[in-house]
Amino acid sequence: MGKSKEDLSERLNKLERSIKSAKDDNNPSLLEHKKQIKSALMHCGIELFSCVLAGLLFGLLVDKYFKTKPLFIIVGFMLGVAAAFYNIIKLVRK
Amino acid sequence: MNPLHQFEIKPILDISAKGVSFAFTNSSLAVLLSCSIFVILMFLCTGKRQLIPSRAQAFAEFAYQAISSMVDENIGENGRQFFPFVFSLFFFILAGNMFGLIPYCFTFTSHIIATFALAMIAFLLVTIYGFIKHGLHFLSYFVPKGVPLVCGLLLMPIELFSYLSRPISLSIRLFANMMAGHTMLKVFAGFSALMGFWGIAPLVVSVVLTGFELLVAVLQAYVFTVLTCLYLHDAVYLH
Repeated sequence: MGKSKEDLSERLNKLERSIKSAKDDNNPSLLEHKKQIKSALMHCGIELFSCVLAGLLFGLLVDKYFKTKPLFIIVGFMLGVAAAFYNIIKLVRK
Repeated sequence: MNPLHQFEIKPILDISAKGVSFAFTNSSLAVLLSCSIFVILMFLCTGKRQLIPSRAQAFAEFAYQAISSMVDENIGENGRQFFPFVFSLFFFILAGNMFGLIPYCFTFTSHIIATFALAMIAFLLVTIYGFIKHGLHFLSYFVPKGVPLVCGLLLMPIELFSYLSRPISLSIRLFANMMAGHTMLKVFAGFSALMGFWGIAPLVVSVVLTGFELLVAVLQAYVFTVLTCLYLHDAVYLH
């Protein structure tokens, strides 16, 4: 008798756990959250690329104009990287 | 069967003046056709102004309402003046993306120069409007709020670069999504052409991908316009 009771409670626990996991799978807020993370990651990647590119292009143009070949391209690149990480930090905080 | 062959630009009418080519290409034809289809559709939809709207009129009203609420939510009270710009931008991109999904049609939004031109229009509008509205005070946008002076001096060039990167990130997002999607579609279509009977498997994948591309076409047009609205909000209110 005792054994079957234990068996029953164990089965009930199992059922509860599976119901909970099924609920989590269908939870719209969780799904929404996953989607948001995906789009945020995409956003991060593009931000990283475009900020560095903007810095590089700026450096290249200034160097061409003032004939200071490697100086501003390095400065622009570093500022671009800094701007990219700054943007990503801002995005993550949001 | 080159999957990138679809992005090739071919001149239809060669016009050149003083060594500069103004050729009417298949890309220009795609812009012209997609825009005229959309304009004609809108004219037909709003032709009969009924009190109880027909399906077509309901579509046009829905389009107006959707963009109007987007402008109100993202730009704010003073944003109504930008409604025509945002509406045209959204439906220009959407029409281009959708037109490209028709077989044998050219997708002009899969070229970075087209998306960059669109992003530059938005960027210049934001910058010029900011300077007209706030004068030189607009430059205070580059100093984050509530930051000590030394930190502000350090953050100013970083903010400036993140501002300058906006048109690049805006254009790359649209261009990369459209180009990647269309290349993938072509690759799977190529598989099903090469594999004979078993080509039915990649065919199923390309059907699914076409549906996915429809989603991407609408989503990317939406993302582009929402980001433009957010930038316009910055120009109107500063921070």
